[in-house]
Amino acid sequence: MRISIDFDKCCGAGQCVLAAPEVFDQRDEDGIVILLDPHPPADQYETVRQAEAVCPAAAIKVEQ
Amino acid sequence: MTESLSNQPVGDQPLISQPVTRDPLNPLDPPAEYTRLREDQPIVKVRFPNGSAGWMVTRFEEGSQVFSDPRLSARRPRHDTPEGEVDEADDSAPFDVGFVMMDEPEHGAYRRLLTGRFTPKAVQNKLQPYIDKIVDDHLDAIAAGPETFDFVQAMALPIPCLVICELLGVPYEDRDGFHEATVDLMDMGKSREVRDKGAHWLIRYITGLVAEKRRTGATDGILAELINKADGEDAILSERQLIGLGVLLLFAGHDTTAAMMGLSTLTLLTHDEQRAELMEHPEKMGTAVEELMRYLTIVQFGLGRVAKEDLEIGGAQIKKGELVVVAMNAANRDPRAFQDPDTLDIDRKMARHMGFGYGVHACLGQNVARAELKTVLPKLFQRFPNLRLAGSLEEVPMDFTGTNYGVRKLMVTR
Repeated sequence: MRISIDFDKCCGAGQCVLAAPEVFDQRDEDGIVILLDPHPPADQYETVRQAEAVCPAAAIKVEQ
Repeated sequence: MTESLSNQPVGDQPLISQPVTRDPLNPLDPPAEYTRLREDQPIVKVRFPNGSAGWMVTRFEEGSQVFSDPRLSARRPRHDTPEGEVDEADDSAPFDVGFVMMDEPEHGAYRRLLTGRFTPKAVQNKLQPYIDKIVDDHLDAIAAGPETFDFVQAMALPIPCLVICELLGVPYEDRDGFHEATVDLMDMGKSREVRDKGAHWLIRYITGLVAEKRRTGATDGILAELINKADGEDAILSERQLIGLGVLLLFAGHDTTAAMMGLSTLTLLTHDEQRAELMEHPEKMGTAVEELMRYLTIVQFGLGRVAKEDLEIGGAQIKKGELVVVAMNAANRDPRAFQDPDTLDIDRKMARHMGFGYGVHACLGQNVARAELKTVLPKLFQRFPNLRLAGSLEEVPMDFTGTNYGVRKLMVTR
């Protein structure tokens, strides 16, 4: 799995962090997404797909 | 979405009007006319409530394109004001609405002054204990009061007011004034004069509060932080921007959540199976709140963007300067995006929706709203498991003219 993020689209809602906290975080100062693990292990695939699905700005793209 | 659309206006045919009338027997559903438009004319030239003409989008995919395409600008005129009240641009607004009407990269630069205060983590750490406490206090007050009460006055209005006061550093004693001014400002059923009076009240109020905070050197809350960004040699906010942001955060920060809290409670009270399921499985609260946001989509007249150049969306040829409004309440009921969209289903698999808008302009305070709803709803029904409407659904006075749809009053019996 490969995750790419369009940082310009990120609105800082943090829904990815709630869905997949081991893969995404947010900068404290402005809420912009931090990709902790661009190639997460298989046991994270489902939560990462969930993060992609709920992002209110469609800023996360997942390829497998 | 590659279906071809035959929705171009024909000749001098009069434009259809944006649907605004709801079925009184189904007050939780968007106007029924949206269902037909979404199938037959998903991108269509319409006449908006104020009489101006532009495009309206009712499908989810095309709506999300409108909100993500940089060729469409957030700097737009209002379309939802009363008949005849048409402005060329937003410059007539009495206060600076700041990043709401900016495009990238300016928009992000200003919005990101605030986003750090609204992340799930920040809300959980800094606000959640406060929200828990005030909700419990208000439930105690309800338990000590009459059996039949107005949920709006007892909970749906005070909780969001308290939370925004805490967050901004605004005295709660001032709530009657700022709420009344907000209702005036947001009610499209009122005249321009009344709405401007509401706006000017809020401007004067925030101006006075800012002066007071400067005088006392206050450091509490977002308003004090913004003052720091407007003062000194490296100031990044003008005085007008500072006041505008204060006004925006105050009215947008409480009226929206109050509307959603009243409407969500009404919805659960009229969906017995869903309510029972939620009470049995409180862990479903997160998905339930997302589903309520989708199902209810309180921004009832949609949000607009203006084409910066000629462009095509979903087969429609949009000309430079034309207004394109996304009816988010229709898009959130689009069967192409949501299975069985007119059914409230708290078990629905979570997916993005437009209940908080969409894209870079998506609601800044969405995690505050979520925290309030996720706290109030379970606590309310745990504390008063027999809570019920005091009258019939048809008797509940709905707010058909507010920018945010909601209930004006919600009489319930505990």
